[in-house]
Amino acid sequence: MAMFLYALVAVACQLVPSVLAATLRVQIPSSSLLPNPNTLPASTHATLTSGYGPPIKAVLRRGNYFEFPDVTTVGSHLLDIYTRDYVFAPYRIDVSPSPDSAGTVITGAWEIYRGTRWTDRGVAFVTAPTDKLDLSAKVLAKKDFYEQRQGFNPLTLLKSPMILLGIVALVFTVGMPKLMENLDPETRAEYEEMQKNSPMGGLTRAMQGGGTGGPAENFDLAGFLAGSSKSSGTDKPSEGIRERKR
Amino acid sequence: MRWYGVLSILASLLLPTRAIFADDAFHIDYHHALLGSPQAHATFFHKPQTSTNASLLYTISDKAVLGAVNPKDGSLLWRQPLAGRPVNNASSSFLVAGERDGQIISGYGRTVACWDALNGRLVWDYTVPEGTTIHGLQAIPVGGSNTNDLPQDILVLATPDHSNAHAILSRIAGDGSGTRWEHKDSSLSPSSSASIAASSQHVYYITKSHGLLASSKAKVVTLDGTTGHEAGQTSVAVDSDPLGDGGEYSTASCSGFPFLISADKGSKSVKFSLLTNPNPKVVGLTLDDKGEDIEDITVHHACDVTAPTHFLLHIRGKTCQWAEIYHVDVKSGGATRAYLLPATEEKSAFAATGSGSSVYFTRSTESEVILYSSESHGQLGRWQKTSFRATPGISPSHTVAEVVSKGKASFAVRLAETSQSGNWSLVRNGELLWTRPEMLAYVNIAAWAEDAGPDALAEELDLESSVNPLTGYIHRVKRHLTDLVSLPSYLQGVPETIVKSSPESDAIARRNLVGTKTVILGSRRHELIALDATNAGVFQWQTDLSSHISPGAEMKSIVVDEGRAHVYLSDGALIVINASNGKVIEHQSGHGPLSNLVRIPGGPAPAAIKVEADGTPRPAEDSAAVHPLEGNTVVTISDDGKAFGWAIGQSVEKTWVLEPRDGTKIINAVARAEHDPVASIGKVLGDRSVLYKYLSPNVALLIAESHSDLTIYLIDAVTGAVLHTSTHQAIVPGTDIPAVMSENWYAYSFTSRDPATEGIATQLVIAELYESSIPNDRGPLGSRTNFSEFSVDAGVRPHVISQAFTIPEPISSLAVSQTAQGITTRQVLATLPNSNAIVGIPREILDARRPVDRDPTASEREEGLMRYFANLELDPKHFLTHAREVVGVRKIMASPSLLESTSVIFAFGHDVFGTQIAPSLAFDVLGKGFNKGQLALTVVALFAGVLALRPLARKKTVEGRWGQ
Repeated sequence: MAMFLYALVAVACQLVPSVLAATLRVQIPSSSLLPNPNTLPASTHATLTSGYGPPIKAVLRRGNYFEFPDVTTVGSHLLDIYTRDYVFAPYRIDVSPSPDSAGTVITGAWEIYRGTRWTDRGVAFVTAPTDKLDLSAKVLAKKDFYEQRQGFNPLTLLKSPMILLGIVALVFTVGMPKLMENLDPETRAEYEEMQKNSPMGGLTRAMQGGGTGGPAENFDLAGFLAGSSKSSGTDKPSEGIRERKR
Repeated sequence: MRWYGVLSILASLLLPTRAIFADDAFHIDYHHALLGSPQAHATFFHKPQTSTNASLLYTISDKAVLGAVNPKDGSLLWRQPLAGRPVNNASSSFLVAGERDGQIISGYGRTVACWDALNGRLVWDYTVPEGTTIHGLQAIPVGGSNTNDLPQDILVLATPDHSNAHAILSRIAGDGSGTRWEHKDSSLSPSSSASIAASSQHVYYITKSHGLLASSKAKVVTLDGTTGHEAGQTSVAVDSDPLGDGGEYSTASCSGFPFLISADKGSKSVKFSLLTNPNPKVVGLTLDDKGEDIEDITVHHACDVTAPTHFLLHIRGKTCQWAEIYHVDVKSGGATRAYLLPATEEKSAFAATGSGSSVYFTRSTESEVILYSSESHGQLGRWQKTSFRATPGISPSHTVAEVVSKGKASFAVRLAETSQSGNWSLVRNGELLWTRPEMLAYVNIAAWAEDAGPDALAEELDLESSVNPLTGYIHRVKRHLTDLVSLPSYLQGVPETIVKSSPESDAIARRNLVGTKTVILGSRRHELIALDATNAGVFQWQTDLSSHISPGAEMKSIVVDEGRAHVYLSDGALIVINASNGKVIEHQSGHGPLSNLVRIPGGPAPAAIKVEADGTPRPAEDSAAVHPLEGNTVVTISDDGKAFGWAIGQSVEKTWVLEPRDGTKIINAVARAEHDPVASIGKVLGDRSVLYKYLSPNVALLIAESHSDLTIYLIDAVTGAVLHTSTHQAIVPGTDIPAVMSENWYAYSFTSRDPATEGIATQLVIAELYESSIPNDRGPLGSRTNFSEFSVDAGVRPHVISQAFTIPEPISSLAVSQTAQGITTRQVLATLPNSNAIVGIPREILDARRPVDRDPTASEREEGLMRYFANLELDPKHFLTHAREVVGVRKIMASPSLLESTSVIFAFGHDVFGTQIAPSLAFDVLGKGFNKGQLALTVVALFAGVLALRPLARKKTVEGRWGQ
C-alpha cells in the first residue's frame, strides 16, 4: 500500500514540472577571482526583474547556485547577482510562452553590458528554447573598499627635488674642502689658478663660502650671468691680497 | 561597445579618490546588525555540527528575520530575511532544528525552507499550495534507534486563508526530495484553529472550531507517521484558553510525549490530556493559587525525545509569580505535581533544557539565576546577576537556556534573555556576556538633538560681552588667572599626550573637533532611544512611552528644541521629554489626528505646523506663543494625488491646487532641507565666467505616478507654477522612486523598461537649475533689486540641464550630505538595498554638465568635467558602509559637524549605521596620516644639522676674516 502511494506521489512529481513554467538555475563556478565560492556570505542573492512586476529574489543555495524555479512572467528579464565582496556580470533572460503547453520557456540568455543598448549583448547561452536553463555566472571584479594611507617612507622623502638639492649642496660644502686638502700641493695650486681665471670658479666658491663674508661676496653673479668675461675691478686686488697673505 | 564600461571606470579612477581609509574603517563608523525581537517559540541553542560541541543561538525575530548568533560575543554569523526583507507585523513563523543533521528549517508564509545551520545557505525549499499559510511546523522525532545520517522529516500544517482552500498536513522529506504523504482536510474553516503534534509513531492533527456554535471539544485525528493513513479519531474536552507554544492547544511535540493543555481565563485548574494514549483522557490539574488571581500560564518542556516526561507551568499572578513542575505518567496518561517553586514578586522567566537523561529548569529573575532539576526541588546552582545596568525594563520576558553539567554537582548555565526593553543578552552563570539592542530594529522616526549641555566658556564669554567693558575686562583677567591654576598640570600632561598617542585618545581628540551629535529615535514599540551619533552609537538613554501613548496611536514626528524633545503622536497628542535624560516633562492630550508635522520659521522660535488627516495645515497648539513668519508656504498631498499650496502666516490660506493628468497621482513631494547653506551663488567655469545658480527656497519637487509612467514636476511652491517637467515611461512596478533636492539641483532614480527594446535598467537622473543658459548672465532678474513671485513678469523659468545615468542596481532612498557652510562639495547618499550598502556618489561624477559624445575641452577639464558615459559604475571605494552589510535602511540623515569638512551620517530602518564623511577630504583637520613622531624627528634632525654646521660655518668666517 505504502509503495503504491509512493509511486503515485512520484508520478505526480513527474507530472508537475511539465505544466510549470521555465526554471532558471545560475551556478557560481570557482574562478581565478573567486577561487572558493563556498566562502560567499549567506546574504548573496540574485534578482530577476521582469519589467512587469516586482523583482523576484533567490538566495544562494548549498552547492553555490541560485534557482528561480517558476518564472511565469513573459518578456525580457534582467538577472543581477549581488554579493558583498564581488561584482557579477548582468544577464538578459528572455522568456516566452511555451508553444506546446501552458508554461513558459527560456528563449534567450545573454551577458549584457550596462549603459549600452539592450541588443548589444554577449554570446548566446541558449540556442533553442528550453524550459530549464543552467547558467554559469561570471565574476567581473572583486570589490575593493579601502584606500591605503600613504605612510612615511624615507625613500620618497629622498626623491623630493628639494632634498636632492640640499644633499648636493651639503656634499659641496663638506666634501670639497676635504678634497682640496687631500690633493698634492702642485695640483692644488694649479687648480686654484684655474679657479681664479674661470668665472665658474667664483660660482663654486660662492657655493662653498655660503655667503659668510668670504671672497665670494665679491663675485659678481649678475655680471657672470650677463655674459661678461671680465670680473669687475674690485675683484682683482682683493684676490691678490689674499694670495699674498697666504 | 563593452569598452564604454571600461572607459567609465577609468574616468572615475582619475578623480581624487574619496574612499574610506583602511585604518579609519570600523573606527569612525558603527553598525548594529540586527534581527529584531526574538520570538520565544523560535529561539534555541543548537549545535550546527555533529563533530563539535559548540552551539550557536538561532532565532526568528518578529520581523521575520532568521539569524544565527555566536553565543560567545553576540556577533551575527548569518541572517536571512524570510520575507525578502525585514517586515513589520510579520505573520507567524516557525523554526525547528534537525537532530544531528546540521540543518535548520523555517516556515513562514507559504515557504518551508531548510538552511545550512553553519553558513546560512539554503538547502531546499518547499512551497505550500496557494491560498494556504503555514500554521505549524514539526520535526518528526526519529526515536533513538535511527542513527544513520538521514535528515529528519518535517511535518507541515498549512491552514486555509479563505473558504475555498483546504487545510493540508504533509510530511516532507528532510533531504528536500518532496512530500512523503499529504492529509487534506476540507472541513476546516479559516476561522477555526488547527495544530499538529508528532510522536515517533503517530502524527496528531488537532482542530477546534471557534464562534458561537463552537463545542468545548477539540477533534484529534491520529495519523500513522510513516504512511499518513488515518489511525483514529477522537474528541477531547478542552478549555477556551490554549496554553501551548504560540497559543495552541498541543504542545511538547518535540519531546515524545505531546499533550493538549488548556485553561479557562482566570481559572485555577488546567485541563491536560496526553495524546500518545490511544484514548486521551482529560486530567484536571488544580493549581496552587497562593491566594492570587492567576493572570497567565505558560508551559515549558524540554525538547528531547530521550528526556524524562516532565513539564513546568509558569504561573503569573497579580503580584507574584511561581511555577509548578509536573511529571507525566506515559502509561496511565496522568500527570502529577512533583514540586512547587516559590513565588517571588520579581518577574521571572523560565526555561527548560533537556540534556541526556535529565531535564533542567532555569529560573531567571531580575537579580538572579537559579537552576533546578526536574526531579526534585533542590537548587543545583544559584548565581547573582552581575554587571547589569540598573535601568527599568531589564526583567526578562522570555529566555532560553543551555545547561552543561561539569562533574557531579557543578553546572554551567548560559541564558539568552529577551528583556522587556528589547535587549537580547546572554548571561553565563549570572554574568552578562553581551547585549544586542534589538529594539533599534523598530525605529521609524529620528531627529538630531544638538549639544544638550551649554558650554561653560561660551556662557562666560556671553557674560563678558553683555556687561560694561571695564567689568568685562576685570572678569576676563580673573578668568585667565583661574585658568593659570590648571597650567602646571596641563604642562605635566603634555609630554604624556605626545608620547602616548593611543587610538582611543585620537578618537577623543577627533570627537572634540567634530562635536557631539545625539540622535533621538522613536520606535514602533513606543520607545524613545537616544544614541550618541558621533561616538560609536553609544546608548544614552531609553524611555518607554507606551503608558503615555493611547492604543492605536503612533509617533509621527520628533522635534528637538532647546534641550526638549517634542514627540507628536498620530492622535494629536504631544509628549515633551528632556532631551538629555529622557524624562517625560509633560503630556498634552490630542486635539484631533494629524498626518504629518512641518516646521517653519517663526518668531521667536520655529513654529510647528500640524498637517491634519484631511490635509489642512494648522499651527500646533503648543506653539501658541510662537508666530510663524509671514510668507511661509507649505505643500501638502491629498490621498487622491493632488497637491495643494498653503500660505501660512497669521492665518492659513490655500493658494493653489495642482491636479495632474487623469490617472496620474502625486505620490511624493521633496523640498530642500531646512539647513541647506549655499556657499557660492554661481558656478565658475573654466574660462572664469560664471553660470549663476537658480537658488530659490520655494522650489519643490512633486513625483507623480500613473500605472506605469513617472512624471517629475518642479514647482514654485508660492504660486504653484510648474517650472519644469520630465516624464519617464514604463516604470517597473513595485520599485522605489527616491528623490532628493539641494542647492540648485535635484536627483531621482527609477527602474524602467524600455518600451521599444524591453531593456531593463535603473537610472539616476541629475538636473541642475541655472538662471540663464549663458555665462555671466543673470537672465531677466539680473538688474532687479527685488522680485515678486506674483508680478506680471514673474514667469521666469530656470535653465534646467539634466543628464541620466544607468546605475548597476536600484536605489531605495536618496539623501545629501550636509556641512555647516556648504563650502564642502556635496555627496549624494544612496541606499542600495540589494548590495545592503550606502554609497556616497560625489557630485563631480554626478554632474549634469558632462560633455556628451566628445572629450572635454581644456576649460571644461579645468572645471573637472569628464566625458559623459551612460553607465555610472558605483565604485566600491565610495561605499560608506564598506564591508559592512547594512540591511533594511529606510532613511539616511546627514547633519553638519563643527568641522566644515565633515558631515555626520546616520541611517536607520532595520539596521542602524552611522559614520562621518569628508566629501572634499579632511582639509581642516589632521588625519591619521599626520605623524607626530615624523614631525618631531624632522625638527630634531634640523636642529642637529644646524648644531653640526655651526663650527664649520664659524671656522669659515674666522678664516675669511683672517684672510682679509
